[in-house]
Amino acid sequence: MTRQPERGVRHRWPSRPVVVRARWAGGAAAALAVAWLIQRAGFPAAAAAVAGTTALVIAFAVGLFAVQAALGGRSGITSVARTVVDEAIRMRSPLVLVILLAATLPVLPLLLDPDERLAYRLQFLIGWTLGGAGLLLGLLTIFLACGSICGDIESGRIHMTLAKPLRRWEYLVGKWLGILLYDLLLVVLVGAGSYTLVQMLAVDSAADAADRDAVSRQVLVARRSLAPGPDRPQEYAAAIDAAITQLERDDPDAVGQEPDRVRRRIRREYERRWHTVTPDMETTFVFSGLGGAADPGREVQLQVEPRVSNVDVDLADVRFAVWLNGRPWPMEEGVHRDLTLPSRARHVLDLPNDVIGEADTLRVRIANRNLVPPGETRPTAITFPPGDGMQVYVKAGSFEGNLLRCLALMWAKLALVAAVAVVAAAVFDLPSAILATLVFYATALGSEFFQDALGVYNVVGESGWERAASRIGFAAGFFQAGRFYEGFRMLLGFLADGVLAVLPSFAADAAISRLATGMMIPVRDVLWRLVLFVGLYPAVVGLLGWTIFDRRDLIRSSS
Amino acid sequence: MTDRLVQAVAAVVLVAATLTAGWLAASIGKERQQQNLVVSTGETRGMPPHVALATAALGTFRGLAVDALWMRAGALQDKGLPYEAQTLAQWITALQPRFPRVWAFQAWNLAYNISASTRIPEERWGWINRGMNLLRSRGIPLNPEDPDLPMELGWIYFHKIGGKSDREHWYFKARLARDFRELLGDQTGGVTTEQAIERFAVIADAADSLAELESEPDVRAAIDLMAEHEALPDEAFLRMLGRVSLYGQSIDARIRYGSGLPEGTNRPLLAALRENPRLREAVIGKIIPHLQKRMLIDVFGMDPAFMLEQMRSYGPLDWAHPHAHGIYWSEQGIALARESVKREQVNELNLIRTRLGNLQHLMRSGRIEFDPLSNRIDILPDPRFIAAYETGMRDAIGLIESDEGLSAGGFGRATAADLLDGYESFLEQATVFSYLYGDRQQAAACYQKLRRIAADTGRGSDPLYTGGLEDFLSRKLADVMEIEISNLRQFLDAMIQRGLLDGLAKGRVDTFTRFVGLAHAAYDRRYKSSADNPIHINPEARLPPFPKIVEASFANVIRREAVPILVRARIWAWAPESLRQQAWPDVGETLTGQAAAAGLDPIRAFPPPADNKEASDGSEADDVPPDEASAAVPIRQPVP
Repeated sequence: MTRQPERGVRHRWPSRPVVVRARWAGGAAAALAVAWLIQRAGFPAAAAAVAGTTALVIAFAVGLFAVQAALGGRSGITSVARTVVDEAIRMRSPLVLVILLAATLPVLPLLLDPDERLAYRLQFLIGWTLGGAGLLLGLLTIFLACGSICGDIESGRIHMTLAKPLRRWEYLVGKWLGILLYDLLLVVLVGAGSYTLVQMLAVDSAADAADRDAVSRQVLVARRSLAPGPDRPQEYAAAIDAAITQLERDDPDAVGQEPDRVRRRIRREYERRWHTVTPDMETTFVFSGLGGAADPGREVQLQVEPRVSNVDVDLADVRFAVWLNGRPWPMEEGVHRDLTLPSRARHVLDLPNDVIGEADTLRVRIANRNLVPPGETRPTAITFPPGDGMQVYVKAGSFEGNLLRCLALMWAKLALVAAVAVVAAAVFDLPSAILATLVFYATALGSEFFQDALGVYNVVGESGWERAASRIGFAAGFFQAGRFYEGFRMLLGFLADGVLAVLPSFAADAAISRLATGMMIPVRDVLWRLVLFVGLYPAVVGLLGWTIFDRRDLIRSSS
Repeated sequence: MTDRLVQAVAAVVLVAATLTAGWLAASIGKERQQQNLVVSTGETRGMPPHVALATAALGTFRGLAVDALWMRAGALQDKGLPYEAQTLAQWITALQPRFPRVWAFQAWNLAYNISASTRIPEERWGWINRGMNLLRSRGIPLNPEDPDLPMELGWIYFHKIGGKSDREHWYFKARLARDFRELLGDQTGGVTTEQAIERFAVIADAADSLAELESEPDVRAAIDLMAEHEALPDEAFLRMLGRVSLYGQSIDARIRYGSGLPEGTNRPLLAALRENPRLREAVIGKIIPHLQKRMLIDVFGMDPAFMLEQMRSYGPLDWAHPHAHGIYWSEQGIALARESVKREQVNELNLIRTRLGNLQHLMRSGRIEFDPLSNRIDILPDPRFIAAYETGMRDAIGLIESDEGLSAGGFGRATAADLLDGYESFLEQATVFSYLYGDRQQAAACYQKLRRIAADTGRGSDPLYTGGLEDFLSRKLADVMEIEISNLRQFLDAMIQRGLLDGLAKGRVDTFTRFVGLAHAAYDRRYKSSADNPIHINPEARLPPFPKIVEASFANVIRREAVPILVRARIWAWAPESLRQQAWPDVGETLTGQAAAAGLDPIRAFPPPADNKEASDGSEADDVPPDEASAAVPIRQPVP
């Protein structure tokens, strides 16, 4: 009898989760109503932005519930992980970043100039949504990891946690796992949001037919690139061997000291020569692995970035004739037309399937048709620099698959950032931990920029040893001349090189850029980076962190 | 180290740092002001809201954001990926709105670097327009006192569109011509300078707003009539009327379709206006000039009063011509530079040289012939600008000799000698074009000036200046066409063909006659001077009679498939009847077949000569020498 009133109370007042869910539902309904009103007022883009934000928030709430449910096990690690997910929506800084993400993502299309070409707008949208979201999620991960662990230590909550049957490494792994899952949820949401925005924008009107074609064949696609091989590989290799043999005979001393270096130099020279089409000759580039008859509807493109010599004009035009598998191309009204393209710019040319046929190999023959520039007696040579100068693109997959691979890479990088942040928080206090992780994150993001910027420390040399010796030599020279600052700076190069060599580069995969330009992100790259960023690096960093954390006096660290 | 000691050291560092910061703050603040790195609340006035917000809200972080955007823009450009170029340019300039060099660089980058990286002409034009719009719509309004930005815009018109450095320059010229012909019509063709100025004054003096006009009952009624026919007094209406006028004057359109109206014409409205002269007058006299004025101000950022001023100073500027815009914007720059407090930093001499360069170009190519159907554009000499150049030169000399002088930037004050270098080449061109376009008196005057300059500089005995005007012209024309005068047959053919293509193809019989006249003069010098100065001519090298040469060149051009069929139809339409009669037996069948293949009505495109028999009876050959009578081409002009 005494328990009846308690039951009555529980029936009268709904439980907290129910109230929370009701608030979420009410908020979502109100936001959607606002979106509808904005739509009615004649601002469809703004209405889409509000609706998109609402959808993201709703999806976030549902996803959060799913993550919490997935972490419902009784093990110590999952319990710690669950507390991190709970903290993620309680702590101010991560929450602010999530709100920022949800608010900015749908607004980004509004910043695009509607007069811009559609392909460019899409590329911009892909680049900035994923790039911006990646940056925000990185910051969120740092603040969440550092805030959670340092908060535990400084408030003394960690004593209660560690009083349970939970070892310190399990605590760290639990924290990392929680952040990993939380990041996974956000990455999925970012992917879904970006994909929706891209699809919405893709149906917008294009500037012209070429623009529409570029959208479907150069942006919303995944293409793999093929590098060319020489027309007669045996003869080509024999020519290089002959050149090496000749040099060995003519100058045995030079070759004898550094034979590998000499061979490399000769190979590079031959490659450059092969990629240069002089006025009096034709050059053939052979691309193998087009897929052949297995893919009759394939889309094949030729990408060229020509350069001209002895013309002192930026983007000077180059003119050349092309034959594809022996057939002249392009043909207009029965006439074989030359191609005239600006040099130093990248051009993607769609190749017709009827010319290539079902062959697995494409032979591109190029003849120089340049005009004679003023003050010269013969046309300039055209170079297609080895690497980006001439490639063939073949459609190899869908934009959706590429997006998934890009998101997987984004998540892998966040996993590594989370591992570093967890370790930093286990070792330092909050400001130091955040600062240390931010330095790591900035270095990993800007690795290529730093390598460029630190070029001042670089010295010329074929091998690492050679460069190190040169650098020491320069430094010694500076010190002897009393220029201590320069000498010190030269030695600092070792430190910079070391840091950049040890830390991973987050930009090296160029995932977002590849996605935006319709280039395939190779599955092998994704798997390798998953192994590195989610497995190897976190294991090494975690081991180091655990070694220190296990010996840390947490009582002294608590306030 | 005890806590107390740490606190003491920290306190000392704090005080030292504060004092140092205070000491440095003043000089840093001054430097930031000088470099336009700070934006005060006052300076955000007049900025668009998003620019003001970005500028003020980011505060000190603005610099970091700008750095990041510049780095990204540079990196993408290096990789040959232009897709973010325009948006990044907009963002960068939004963050540095009072930094003229940033606007100038971004506009130049879009118009020159990015545009040249694509091979599609429409895309190139798009990038050039984006560069120009960046300056016109935002950069110049936000930096109204900076002389460099109008100059940059003028340079894009002058060099990128007006010049020949870009292989698509004809496309750019045609796009600009179409845009302005639709907007303003042809205001300068076939009229005197005064008439052209009068026409444009109507636009400059038009009402600034529609509200001003609506008080007039006729205007109100005309607007109501437009509304009845689903038209508004806006850009679309203006351009629709512009297209009607443009197609109505198109020779190509008449050859291809006969008379008719272009697609998208509001025919019921035009019919209603035709029936009501009062309302038609309201539309033509009031509404259209008002709309034209608003378009110039709102879309092109131009001031019609200033445009009119330029026409009064320099002559009948055709606003479909890139150099007219080049002049407009460089004049804006010159006016600002002269008001600038930092005159010593401005190279006014360069501004003046640009002005004179523009005028010289206009003299050489100031007349635009544009056909909307074929998108064909011809840029022809306009000797009306010779006087304008002379005026511009006189003004410049006046400025140089004034007390204020003319600044040459870092080179001190300019002197008259700095400007006279280009004067001689101008006079040479002026002599040739004045002659070819019918003003022998002006040609002789220019030639006299040239002779004086040559005499003053010790070159008076140069054959160019001793053989008289005609000899000078023959030599110069041969030079222009890179033809050896000794190779007479080639020279004659080139001159006649030029007469056909530059003259008859454009409806200019006088131009055709002058080119043929020059060719005849050269022919005569070789074959008619035997009495006074016997020249042995190898019989194998003897040329046929002159009319036969004209006839052969005519037949050659009229049959040549490389010349567009519409161009040949125009030549045929304007060719002397006897020339057509002479050629018809050889070319008639070919032309009929080619016209039919091109979808043209052969009778309309190449009407057969009235009486083919006349060609052989010599009835029109009264003024040709007996040995040439059989050719009977009535185009021989007395050699001046």
